[in-house]
Amino acid sequence: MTRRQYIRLAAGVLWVARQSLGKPNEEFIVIVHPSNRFDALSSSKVSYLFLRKVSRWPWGAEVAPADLAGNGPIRRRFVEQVLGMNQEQLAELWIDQRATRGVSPPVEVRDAAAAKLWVAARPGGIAYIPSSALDSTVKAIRVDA
Amino acid sequence: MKYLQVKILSLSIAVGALGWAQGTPQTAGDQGQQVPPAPELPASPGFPLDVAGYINFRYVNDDALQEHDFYRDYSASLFLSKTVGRWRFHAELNADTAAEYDSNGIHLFPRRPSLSVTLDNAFVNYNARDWLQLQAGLLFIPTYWRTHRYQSTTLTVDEPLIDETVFPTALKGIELYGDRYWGGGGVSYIVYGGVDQQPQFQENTEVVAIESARTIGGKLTLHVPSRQFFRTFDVAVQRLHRVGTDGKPDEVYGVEFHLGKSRYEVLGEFAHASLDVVNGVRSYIRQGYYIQPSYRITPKLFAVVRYDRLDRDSRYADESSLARQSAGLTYRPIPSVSLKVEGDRYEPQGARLPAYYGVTTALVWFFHLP
Repeated sequence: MTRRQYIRLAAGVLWVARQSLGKPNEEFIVIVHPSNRFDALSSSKVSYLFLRKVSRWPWGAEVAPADLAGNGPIRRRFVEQVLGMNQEQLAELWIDQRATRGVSPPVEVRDAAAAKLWVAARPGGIAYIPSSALDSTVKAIRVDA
Repeated sequence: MKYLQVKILSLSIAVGALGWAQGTPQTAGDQGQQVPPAPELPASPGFPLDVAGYINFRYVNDDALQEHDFYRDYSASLFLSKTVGRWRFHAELNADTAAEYDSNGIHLFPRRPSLSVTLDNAFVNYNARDWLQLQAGLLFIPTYWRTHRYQSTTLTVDEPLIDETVFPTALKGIELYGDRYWGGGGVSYIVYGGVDQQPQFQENTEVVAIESARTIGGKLTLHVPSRQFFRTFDVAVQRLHRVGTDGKPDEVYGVEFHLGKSRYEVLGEFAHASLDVVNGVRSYIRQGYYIQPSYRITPKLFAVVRYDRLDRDSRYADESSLARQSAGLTYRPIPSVSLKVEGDRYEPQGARLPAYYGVTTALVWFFHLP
């Protein structure tokens, strides 16, 4: 492999990593399965879904949250704005929940594409992605303060 | 009978819908939209069981009544969980080298002076609704500290003096519980019954016996809505009635609160037991409380202080009281690792005896598989 090929490979890896984490100032959107009956939810309701305080949607579908892996800007923004805590507090909360209730955190997905796959395959799915990654396989819902 | 079933069903749907009133459901016309075919499922975690636990080392050193005393304690806890549909199974196993901390649970192997292995908690949980769940097995009495007492969760090394002392520790029985959330607040309830177990202590630390009694109790927690002014604002009351083998009932109640805002957090519990009540007259009381403010200095470093008091037996009010002031630091370089150090000042016998001091340290590592 030549030096130029190494540089191209490194640049490609960086580009993929950046795409999967979202741009630094990009907003997140909350996505659900297209059959979901809600167009908007309050931020406290979304936090109950992600923190597994609510286990089913009103029509009976099991809530299946997915969380972006890593500590990228999109995840950080979602955790602070919707869950009302920082990354450390969230990690500590899941340690407590595993021990006290036997409840594990949402499944971690590596990027927005995997989050969309997760949600599109489950009627109760819910996740968040960079707004630029939205497509017709999932439905975006508005998060009210 | 069928009419009753229909009524219960419609009531449960109505209650379920109530909690979702904040959301904006689509209109009927919206629901007709085309749903794209489900793509291939992303790979789910393949491990058949959720396995977590923590390994803990603590070192206690104090000068109780001028007798210099210290010991080391190694312990490990393992949590095994499995969720299948509406069913969840959970078990907690503990291995401990310090008999002082071995006060509840079912011994899995013959107990040795330097090692005990116990099943402390094991239950099956059925989730009918979030506001109606049933749990059966070996359960903890749901005081705040008992529920969250894990070294990987707590900021202090030592438990409050009232823990395991005023309320019983655990029970073999059933529990009906649930949560309802709306807006920024909610309510949680627990109703439980069974046969409890409570350690009988000698000189504040040594467990001399485990006493069992028929128990019924309940707890109501209000998650106070604060328009996100507080991160957590929980207030709870608990009531418990137990009848031991001697036929004399004990009446226990407790109040607790948990407040969190920004970097600040305050925990507090008060518990009171009227013991051996005969014809409405109690033989003696046992009560205590603690208040524990903490401050997150940096994302990884916490400062915590606690004031603690226990009056073990009102018949010997002076001799049986103990107060403690603690101040400590907890460093969490990563959320799964805790390094704790804490200094304690004890006031035995209502401060009639001279105060003594102690230092406790702990190193905790929490893990989960895969």
